[in-house]
Amino acid sequence: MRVAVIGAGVIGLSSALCIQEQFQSLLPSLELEVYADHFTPHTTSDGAAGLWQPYLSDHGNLQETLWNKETFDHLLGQLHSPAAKEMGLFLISGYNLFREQPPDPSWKNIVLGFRNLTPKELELFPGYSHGWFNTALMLEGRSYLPWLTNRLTQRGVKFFHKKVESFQELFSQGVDVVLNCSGMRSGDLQPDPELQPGRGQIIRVLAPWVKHFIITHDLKSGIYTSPYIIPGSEFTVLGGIYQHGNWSEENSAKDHKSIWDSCCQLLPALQKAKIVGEWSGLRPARPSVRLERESIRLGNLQAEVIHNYGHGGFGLTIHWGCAMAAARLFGTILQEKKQLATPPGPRL
Amino acid sequence: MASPKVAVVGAGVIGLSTALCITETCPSCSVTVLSDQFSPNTTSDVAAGMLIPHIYPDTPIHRQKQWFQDTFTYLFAISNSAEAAEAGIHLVSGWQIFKSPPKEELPFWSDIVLGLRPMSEAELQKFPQHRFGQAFTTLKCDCPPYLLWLEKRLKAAGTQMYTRKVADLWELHREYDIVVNCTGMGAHQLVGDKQLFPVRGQVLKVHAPWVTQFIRDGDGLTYIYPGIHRVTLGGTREKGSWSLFPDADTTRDIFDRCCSLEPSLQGAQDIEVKVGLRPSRQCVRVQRELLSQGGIKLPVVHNYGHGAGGFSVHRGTAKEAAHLVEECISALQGSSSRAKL
Repeated sequence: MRVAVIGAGVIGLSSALCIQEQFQSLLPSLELEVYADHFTPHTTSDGAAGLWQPYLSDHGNLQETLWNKETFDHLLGQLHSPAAKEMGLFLISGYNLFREQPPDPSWKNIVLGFRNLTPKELELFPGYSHGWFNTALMLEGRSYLPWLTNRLTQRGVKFFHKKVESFQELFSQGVDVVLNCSGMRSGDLQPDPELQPGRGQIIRVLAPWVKHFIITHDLKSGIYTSPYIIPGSEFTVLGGIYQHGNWSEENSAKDHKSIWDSCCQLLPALQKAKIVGEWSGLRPARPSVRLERESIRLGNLQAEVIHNYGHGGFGLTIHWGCAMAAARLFGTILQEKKQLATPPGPRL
Repeated sequence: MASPKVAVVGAGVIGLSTALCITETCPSCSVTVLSDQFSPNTTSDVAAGMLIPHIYPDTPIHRQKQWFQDTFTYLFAISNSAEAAEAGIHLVSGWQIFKSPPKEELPFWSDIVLGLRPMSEAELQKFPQHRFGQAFTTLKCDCPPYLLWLEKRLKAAGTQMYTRKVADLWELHREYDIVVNCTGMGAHQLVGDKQLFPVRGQVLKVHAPWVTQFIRDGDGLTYIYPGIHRVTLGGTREKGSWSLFPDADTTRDIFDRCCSLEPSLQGAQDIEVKVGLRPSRQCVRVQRELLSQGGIKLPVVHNYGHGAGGFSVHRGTAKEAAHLVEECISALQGSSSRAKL
């Protein structure tokens, strides 16, 4: 049973790991392969700051909120394990700021210690009238992806550095199931007008005195269009760009200035921070995550694709819940192909 | 008295902040700092610099609260300014945890730090041996940066600083009109204060930049305080010990205790061991004294004995000491005008 995962960002690697962990022992013939044109540190997941935080609202997509919660709880359980440091996983507290009263977020009961800001705390952020404080998690892609890669390699998963041009290409080589975790490039494999880039740009600085994340919000102009500051283990990320439909991965001087000026206004001490890098990436945005099976007829064969893409700016936040769901879909496929009596794992 | 000459003895956080307050309240004063040690070799440099007050048994609570409030307000403003990074002042959030619920559910300073509230059940799960805790945000003064920043402000105000061991306050009476004694543990010898005793503290300063939250056991013995570049792991409270030498068994013990609260510290690098003697007293001595010898008078303002709470109250006691210096100046001017008659 050959399973090919397309994409080696957080979604591809974690989906591969879930499937490997759940099915390898039950299905000795399972051969997992990962195909990607980019590997860490060159994936979208590597550029992201790594803060666990969903968008403010799930727009009625309760399933996504459940996947977010599953991810948070899973990571929280890993915090005290010896692997945490290597995974790039740690606790972090911080502030979400608003210029008007916001509705409670979908994740208020998932994070730790969620509360409104006191008047004294709001003094730190002139111009913002409301805000939240909570403790969440950081999962740095630059550490997490190598950690996932090591685990997969240890378990015999093979990696191939190539750009897959079509699902057919893999099926004609004898692959039985394809996991489409190709993020922004899914449209190249199968047109999807709902998948659009949400272009972001960030500046990396050295500001080790900043111990909290600070995310400001402009409820009218949308997510990540307002400055944010996210401290990591090696540098601090300054951002605040979300451009729907912009495919450019070049850094823009105009965006640089906008990020720099707005973040320095938020935290004046940043003016003294040393800039150590800049990066642009495309959030694979979609009205909802596409996580579903698709059966493709190829001659007299039924080929199976499991789509798992369109995680926008919350891929790290939702990845584990999605990987588990993808693994369940895989289990169903195995059951149908009579490879398994019943799929493993708890029934949801 | 046109330009009173004030000598501040001691260049830890108390000496430097007191000198700075004096330049603010008395711009016409000529202030000189004298100390045998400057940063990075003071007791203050060993401390983590967390703003979490220590309780002085014999100082009225309202006075301790005022000192803490003054200090917090002062540092809060710096943390919010462009100078925060240079001054080494930053906000840090975290938890104070207790194995058994504390006597007072709310400490006297709970409305001064930010957002203090009881920890939720979910948060307490991180600490299976602890039953109760408080989550809050407070400030941290990283040293050497904070002391160096104070020195820079002092130089800008025209203050001279000299490395000099003062063995007797009377050495200073010819050159200076008023002496301010901020010698911390040195006061034991310098003014013979037998109520002052050392409480030895050993700490580890480690590289663990993924630790963003502070954790403090309510017993005050085990703590993890993330600073700008290093995390301070502590500690010990050895009353009456004068040893400044690191103890290897203590190092192991501190590391183990901290790892049990924060397992990821196992991966900490570059462990540096430091020792400081907290200059402890039942109450902080902020007091005027008129020394007298062979008809000569020497006004002294004492500001020492802050024990484990130096950073938490430094600005508040510095302001009080500066007011006492003003009183000394008035008294000198009064007596000098009398002398003219």
